[in-house]
Amino acid sequence: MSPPRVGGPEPEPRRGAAEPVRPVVTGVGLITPIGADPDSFWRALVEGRSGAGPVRSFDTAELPSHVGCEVDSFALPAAVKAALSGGRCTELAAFAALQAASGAGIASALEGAADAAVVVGTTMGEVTQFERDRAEHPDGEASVEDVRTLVERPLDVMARSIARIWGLSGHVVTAPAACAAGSYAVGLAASLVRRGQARIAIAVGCDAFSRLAFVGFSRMRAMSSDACRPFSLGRPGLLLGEGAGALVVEAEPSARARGAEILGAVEGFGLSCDAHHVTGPDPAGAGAARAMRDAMERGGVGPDRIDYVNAHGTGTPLNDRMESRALRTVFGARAAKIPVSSIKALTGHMMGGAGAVEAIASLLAMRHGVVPPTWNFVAPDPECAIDCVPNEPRRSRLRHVLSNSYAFGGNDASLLLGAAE
Amino acid sequence: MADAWVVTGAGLVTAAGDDAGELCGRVAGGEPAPAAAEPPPARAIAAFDPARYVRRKGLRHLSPTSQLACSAAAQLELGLHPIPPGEVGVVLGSAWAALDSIVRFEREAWTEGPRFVDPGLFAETVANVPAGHVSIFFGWSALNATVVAGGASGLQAIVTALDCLAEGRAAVVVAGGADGVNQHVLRVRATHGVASESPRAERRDWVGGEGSCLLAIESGEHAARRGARVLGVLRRGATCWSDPRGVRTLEPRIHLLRRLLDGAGLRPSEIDLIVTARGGSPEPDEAQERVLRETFSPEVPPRISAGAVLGETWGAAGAIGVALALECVQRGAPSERGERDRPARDVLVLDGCASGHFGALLVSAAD
Repeated sequence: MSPPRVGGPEPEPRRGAAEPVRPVVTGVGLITPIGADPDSFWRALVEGRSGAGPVRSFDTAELPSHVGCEVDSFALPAAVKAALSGGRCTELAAFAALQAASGAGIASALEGAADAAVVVGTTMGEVTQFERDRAEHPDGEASVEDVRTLVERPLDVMARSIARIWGLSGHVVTAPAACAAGSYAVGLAASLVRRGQARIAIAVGCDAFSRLAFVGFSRMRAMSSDACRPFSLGRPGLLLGEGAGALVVEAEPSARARGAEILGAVEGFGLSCDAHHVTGPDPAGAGAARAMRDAMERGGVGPDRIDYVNAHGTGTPLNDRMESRALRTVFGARAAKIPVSSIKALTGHMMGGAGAVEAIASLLAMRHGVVPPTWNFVAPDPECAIDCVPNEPRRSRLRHVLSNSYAFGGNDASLLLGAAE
Repeated sequence: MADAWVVTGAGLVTAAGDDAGELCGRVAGGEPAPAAAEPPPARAIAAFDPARYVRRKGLRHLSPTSQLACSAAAQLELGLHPIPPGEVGVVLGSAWAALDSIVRFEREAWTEGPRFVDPGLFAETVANVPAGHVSIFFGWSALNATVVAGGASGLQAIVTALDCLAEGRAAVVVAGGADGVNQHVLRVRATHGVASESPRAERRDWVGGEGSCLLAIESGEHAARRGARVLGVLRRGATCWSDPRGVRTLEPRIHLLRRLLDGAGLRPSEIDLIVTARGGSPEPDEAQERVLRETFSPEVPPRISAGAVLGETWGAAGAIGVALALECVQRGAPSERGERDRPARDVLVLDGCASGHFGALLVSAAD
């Protein structure tokens, strides 16, 4: 067993200085309301198959919306399931991570590794069992038994469970960055690899379909009652979803040395914070623009070389207006010409899962040379003056893609993803 | 020092006060903070009022963790005032973050009905919102991140902050941890026989606690340019996780410490003091001792811990450990006689928990 890498806080005073190692993606795995493997997921994206339907996880009779995007039943190997410490969110995360490791051809090489990292992004973590337990006796204060799973499955349980599958003992951390958590996981994993602190990093974004989130977004009047229509005039709001995405990120030289198929690269990870409002985005989109610029600067790619933007595009009036404005700030007149699309019209908002799954969608778009469209688009919104690729996939050679994620707390994250070659 | 990461401010809120020197004195004297009378016992902060620290509206509705984080951050505000807020980032560690708010939200949703639950409470159920409040209150917008690594969340936040600084993401990162006392956690732990129902103040075994500690971290060069006083140097830090059910749980921790010392060019014998994560739980405390014996054999340096004074402060613990280390490199380490010895030169801060997370950070005196 090789020793764990040690975080080396060696000062690098030059912002955007040349990085020693290029982090590449060699495996992806996902489980979403529109597909449980990359191929079926991609077909759904280009064929417009939505994951929306009547909510099955809990009773919505007292709520204004009854539609959500849930994952169909799925199965984990019994031995894996037995080793996990969590519930549905952990199982979704493990499913995606196993698929990604298998795709990367590293499943056996991971066994007992001390230089492999796990970075998990989530919003709610393992909250669904608590919701069910509480629903059994909803009156009064929560009992010890009600809160037991919440306490025994804290936010880091997904990361620990994934590490336990392979007996990993390196960097195992959870980044609960709400709806940007999946992008944080991918970006932080890439940073660990880039800085030589991990040989391989498994980045996972995940969330299960939560009543708490459903009620919360309903009370914020952010939910649609039928469909999600990102960037479309009169868009009613988001649809809640669930799912997980996992990416195996490793150093390019070692990936090439072992003959791994390279699916793309994490060229840059941009971060910023609105510092404006805890739930609402800064209408000017200043933080979102800074995050996009930061990602491009770190990747050494100017705005003129961005071929496609996979938008956060929740379908809420506030987010889509803000994101469009940020795109105009960053790309100027070119903002109306760059293809921008949101896959949330089909998947719903998978919260912590969204950023990771959307990074995978971006890699698949580059691989297929196709921009997945923004489905359910009805009419242009003058406040969203962008090319949102409405309702029809578009063939295009894609070399560099930005994938955006924004969250409660004002967290802004952008990933700059590069094509395989 | 110009090419090192340095600490130029420390904000602290604990059951033993908000002064690191006073806390150090209590650690030296083995004087625990008072325990709450209501079972399960916890060393809660008596009459905590965030308005004492944060001169802004809107505090009352925030979760305890948010209030604690903002109160620690407020103590750094004046020192960071000359720096454009867009160049300051925030990284917060928290083990439990929003758990209390999640339970409250569910109760309200069931008792009031889902159409009437307070939407403001929904925001507090999201774990990164305490860090978000810090950014909003103080305008620090270079980056904002929350990290969770169990009881090592605070050190994880500081290690992440060092990486962010190394990547040029901010000129200064405000980093550390916060966790409010959480009755739900204490009640469940009591059923495991881990937390006693006795509220005795003189307890030395595991007791729940709460607190927050945030540090202003920047490069030595940046601190010198703006004339900031340096409290200490953060040499290197790292975290790992190993399965507590595994047969080789301790090996990764020993490797981590050895590499940390090697990377800093220090021999084990050069460590003057260890600030441990010792919290009163027999198994994790014994595991930590074995790691230290293996790493520092034949002689383990003197150890101190805030655990016996503050109880388990979870996400705050690692950062509080760093604040103690900074106090020891500036004004001297507490001795067995309850007095201050000469200032320490190199201090190792440890953090961790029974779930397998482990972290370590080397703190040195400023030249």
